[in-house]
Amino acid sequence: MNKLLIYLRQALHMMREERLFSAIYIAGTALAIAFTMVIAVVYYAKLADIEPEVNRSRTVYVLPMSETPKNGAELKEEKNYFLSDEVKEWFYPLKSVEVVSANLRLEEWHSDKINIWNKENKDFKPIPVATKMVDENFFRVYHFQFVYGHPFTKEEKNLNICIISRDISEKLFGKGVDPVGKMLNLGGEFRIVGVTEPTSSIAEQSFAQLFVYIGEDEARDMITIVLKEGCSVADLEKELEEVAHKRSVSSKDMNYSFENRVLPHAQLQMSGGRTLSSWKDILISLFPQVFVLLLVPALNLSGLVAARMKRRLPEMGVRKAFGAKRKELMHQVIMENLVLTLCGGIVGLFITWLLLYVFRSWVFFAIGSQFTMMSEPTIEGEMLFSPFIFLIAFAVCLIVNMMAAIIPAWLSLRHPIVESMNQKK
Amino acid sequence: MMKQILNNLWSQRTQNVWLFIELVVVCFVAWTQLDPIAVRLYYKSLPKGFDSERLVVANTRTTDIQWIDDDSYNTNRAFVQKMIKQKLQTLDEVEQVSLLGQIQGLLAPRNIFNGSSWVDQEGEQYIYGNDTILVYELCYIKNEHFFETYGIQVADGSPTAKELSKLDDDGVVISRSIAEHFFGSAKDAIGKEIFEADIMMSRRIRGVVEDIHVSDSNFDTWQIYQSTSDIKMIFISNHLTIRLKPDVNVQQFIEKYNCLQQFATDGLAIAFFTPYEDIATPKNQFATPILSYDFNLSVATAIFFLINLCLGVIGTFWMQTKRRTEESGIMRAFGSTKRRIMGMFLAEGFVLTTFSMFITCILYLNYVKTGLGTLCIPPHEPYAQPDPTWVADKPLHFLIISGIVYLIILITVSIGITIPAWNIVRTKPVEALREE
Amino acid sequence: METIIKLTNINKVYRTEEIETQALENVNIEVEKGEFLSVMGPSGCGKSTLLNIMGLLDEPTSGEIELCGTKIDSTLSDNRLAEFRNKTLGFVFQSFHLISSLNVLDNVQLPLLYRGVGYSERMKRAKEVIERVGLSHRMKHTPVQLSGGQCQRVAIARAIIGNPEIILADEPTGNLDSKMGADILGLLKQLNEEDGRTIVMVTHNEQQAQQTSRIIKFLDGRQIM
Repeated sequence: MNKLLIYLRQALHMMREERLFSAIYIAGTALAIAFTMVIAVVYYAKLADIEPEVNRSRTVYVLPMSETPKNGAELKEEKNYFLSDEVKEWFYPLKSVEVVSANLRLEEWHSDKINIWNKENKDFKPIPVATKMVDENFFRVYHFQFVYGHPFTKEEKNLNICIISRDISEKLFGKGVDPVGKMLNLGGEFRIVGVTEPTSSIAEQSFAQLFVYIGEDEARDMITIVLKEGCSVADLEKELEEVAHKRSVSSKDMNYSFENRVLPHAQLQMSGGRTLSSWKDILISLFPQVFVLLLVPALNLSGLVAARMKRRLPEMGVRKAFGAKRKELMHQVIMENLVLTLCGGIVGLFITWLLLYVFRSWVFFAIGSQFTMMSEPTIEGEMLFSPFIFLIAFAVCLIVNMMAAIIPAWLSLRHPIVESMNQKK
Repeated sequence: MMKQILNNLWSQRTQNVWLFIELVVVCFVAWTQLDPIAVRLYYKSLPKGFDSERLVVANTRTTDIQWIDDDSYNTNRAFVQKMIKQKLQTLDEVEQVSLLGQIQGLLAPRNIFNGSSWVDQEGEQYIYGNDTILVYELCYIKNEHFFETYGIQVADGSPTAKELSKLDDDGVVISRSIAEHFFGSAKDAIGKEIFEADIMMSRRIRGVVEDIHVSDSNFDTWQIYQSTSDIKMIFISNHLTIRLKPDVNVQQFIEKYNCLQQFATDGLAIAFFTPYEDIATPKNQFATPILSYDFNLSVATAIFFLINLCLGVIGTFWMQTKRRTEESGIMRAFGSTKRRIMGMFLAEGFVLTTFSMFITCILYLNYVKTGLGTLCIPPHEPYAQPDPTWVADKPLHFLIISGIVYLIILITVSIGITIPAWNIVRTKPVEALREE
Repeated sequence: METIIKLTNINKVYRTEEIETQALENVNIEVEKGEFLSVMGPSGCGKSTLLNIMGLLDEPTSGEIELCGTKIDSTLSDNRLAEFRNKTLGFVFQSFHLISSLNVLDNVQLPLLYRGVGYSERMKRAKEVIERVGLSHRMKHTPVQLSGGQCQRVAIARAIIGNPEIILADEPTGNLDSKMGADILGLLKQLNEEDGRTIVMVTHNEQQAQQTSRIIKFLDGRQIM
């Protein structure tokens, strides 16, 4: 411990003495860490369990069945939606599911933005709002906070009702006004039954500013399922294949299948179609790419460390003359570099937060554009300040430090004592 | 001077070896990132052949958010769509409005055509003759002023754009490159027949237009235009393409008319306006896997590595400041100029970079040859138009991209050297020699 | 008297690609415990090389070394050698070789740090030796804030803090003026006479050498006196 304190003191003294070296070292480290952390945060925001998508690790999306004609049958246009009765017949009885929600993804058919206006206020200009058509189970899959009113209920089926977010409510009716019961014009008239706290569009499967209750006659093109605890995607796929098989048997012309139609959350988000199911697996698979991204800054820092070690050869010679072992000197060099690396890490984190806040649209589009982006994203605190993010940042610092310092330090400490001490400064 | 440069590099090899390794790694990574960027930018820079900068696309949608699948509804909707079109036509800023039959702007699906022979069939397989080509086939709605709205120019000898927009669906319009491929010239193509291979139907060529270049992921200009008056096509087309007058700014037009309620008619409205150029990119379902690369991420990655390289060079050079200052003092004491000394420092960077680039090129060639990596060349489908540009010529492609990478790295290294070197050469000789 | 340093048939040859230099040739030296030995000779005669070999900072090309009854050969590992240096030897260099980023107190403690001595014991002994060399008022100063003589005093304090049996001083007054040089020699004599430490000193200064108990002279790598 005492040794550590001495090393720390020496490291801080050297930082003050060699400001340029320290500045370049810290800048290089900060850049590397910022880049890595931006990627980590983007993936975290898209894949980890965050409000309101708190069940992402158990959420699976099911697309309509694929159809292939049986022998000799004519190929018809594929029906790429579910009807309400089909959802009840095929999905509700499944044993591996906890919740089933059947919705219509408006963005596939129209725009996901609908103009709404307040008829009571004739001067009010219509505003476009991101919209989803959902059933009552949508609010069991995703955890929304209701400011006024309540989620859709089964009893309210077939009524023209909607839920809006608080920011839209304030735009339409003013701050602090409870709009529950008021009518909203979307082209037709809909009664407001609830107001939710606004959510970030980064959680795009749940994001909307207007939720419209999907009618019984409406087509649904996406089923969102929360699996029961302990059940896996494979269990669900097995059950669904049985459903598809039964349908195929009862059909004269067509074979049906749910193959490649069952997508865990992470897989849906990543259009590359990975088979990995958890965001932790995905991060692990990203590790080689991240390693290459850290390699170049580490090489930079290695050069700087090598130069500095050369200047410190006489010092190392003297230490060895007084009994220091090579391992002890290695520890010293690594610890001194760690001080600089941690400073770089802190600066890097600030740069990360700045980038994510100021340039969030560009960042989420550039890095996250394997994910689909529908609206301007907002960044919530838990995305930036989760313990996991700090842990990743610290781990990255350690890795960079080790990569940068070990080899130059080891090479330099191989010099014989006399040669080291006679080195011209 | 070269001897001094090499001596300097060798004497500081402990530091320079790290810089050298970093240069090789950065050159290699820069190669992988800059290849698709350069290819994409090159294709984007090719002249489009139509007036994309004057076009705005209006997306229509029903104001009733209910799902209806009914033929009479579709006919009705087509009629209402036309009414909206007429409303738009009355605006001062608008020159022309057209209903488009395609969902993705001018990007079209592909089809097989033959120049002069029928296709043979052996069982389930089609056997194509030597003159088979794979083209983009674009449907346009008859009497919708398609060619005028998009500003597609007609070739010499061809009927006017107005006439071509009114063609019946038994004829086709082809692009100049197809005309020249089969018949030698645009004029010679008019009135001839070509054959749509899969359905074995012949088509009379009614007109030839100049090539348009729509995709930024390949070179293809083989395009065939087919008119249609199918009502369902009009329904599917929820796009209205607006050609603005020459002096009208697209963004200002969109902002002015953003209160879209004024265009609502009988259950149909405009959802939003988009500049044409914004819809013609990323969601390109016909982009090849290689070129559907994330452009922005490549740029960000390349910039990241280059900044790191710059920092590395600055750092390495600055660590040698004391020795260099002394050296600079001695040289100036013996008559050298600041410029010459600066030139020597930059030349060191040049030598190091050149050597690194040479190694990188060898590594990259092996990387490509062993199949671990590829050059960014759009895959060539059978019968598709051969790409005459440098992109498809492998040796030239390799040389050009190597050149671009080399230049960029050289500039980065030069910046990295200049910043500390400038301080060094500015030191007075007497102060520099005092350092010793 | 007990022989504390014994060098037998020591040869040291420096080889590069083009040149071979015989720095030491068949050197045989025995140093008694408590002796203050001076090594003299012109530049390049091998005196510093001799001291480096005695101090286990360098290896002879051939020959045997015995320190405090222990035979030192290539079978001893690096770590074992480091331990031996730490416990048995203390060094004073011509150019002081203080660590510029550490203050006087930290510089002096270095040998005890590597011996694993606890904080309070280290501080106690460091303050003792610093007081002994007359620098109690400069404990928190860094080397750049000290004069040449003061730096060398710190180096001496560092050399003795671990209570080594042998002190090796390579031209300890070489970078100092005559007054400071005399002070430093006085300190070394004190350590030799009062503490009974064995000191081997390389010097150019005839006057200083005369104040020691024995002088040996070297020329071209060979002992001539």
